[in-house]
Amino acid sequence: MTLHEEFQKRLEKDKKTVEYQIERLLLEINENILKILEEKSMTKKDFAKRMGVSPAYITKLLNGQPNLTLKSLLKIALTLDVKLSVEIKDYAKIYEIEIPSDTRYRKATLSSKKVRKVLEREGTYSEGFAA
Amino acid sequence: MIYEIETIHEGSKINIGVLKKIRVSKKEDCQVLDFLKGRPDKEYKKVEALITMIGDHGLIRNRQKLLELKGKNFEHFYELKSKPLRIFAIYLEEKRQLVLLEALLKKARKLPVNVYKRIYKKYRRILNDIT
Repeated sequence: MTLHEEFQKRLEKDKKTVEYQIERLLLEINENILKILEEKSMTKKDFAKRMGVSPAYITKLLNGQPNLTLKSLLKIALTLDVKLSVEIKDYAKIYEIEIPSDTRYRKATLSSKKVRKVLEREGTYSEGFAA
Repeated sequence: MIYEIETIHEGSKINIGVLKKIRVSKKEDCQVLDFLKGRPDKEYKKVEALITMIGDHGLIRNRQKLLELKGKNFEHFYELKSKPLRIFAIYLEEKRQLVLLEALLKKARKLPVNVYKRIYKKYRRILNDIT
């Protein structure tokens, strides 16, 4: 077996694991944040200030802090003035949760009840969705 | 001893390769993959996620995960950071390929400059010979 085959074989198996998916997702999120900061010509220090956190928190975040909550993600999105969307794909259906633009991040929580309310209001709630 | 580059992952942006040694009458070996295989599963998966991320996005912005080591002595020399591991790599611009050279376990808070210099000098010479 070549090194390529060996690497790809294990990768195919590992891609289905939580550890791989979390790491990849964190890398994707952080790359997105850095891209937006670059587009908005915002430094990490400015970002931390606007978000009301310490620069050390931003460093931790970019280092792949694993316990990133939906609330933290929402806080980041609102600070950067971008939309946060969560997609749960089962090949046939895509659920997208849109956060209303008037939501103030200080008050925002993403409890299952609130997610359900948003989905019901949008008319996209289905019993199969478990928040 | 003969060295060869083998691509282990084809990304949509760049490919990731490893340097393998081919010994007469012995099977080929690769320091990076052999080292990674000896590490715990969780660490291996984190490196896999970083490799596929770089493959799909190119040389990512996050310097806490992929750091370009700049200086008069270095050219296209990178450090992949995945706690607690470090993987050194050289980017071959004309081939759009990041070649992983050597992996190690980072023990000290900061690696001595000599380590970087030694690795770069050793592998730059090998790569110049085979590319």
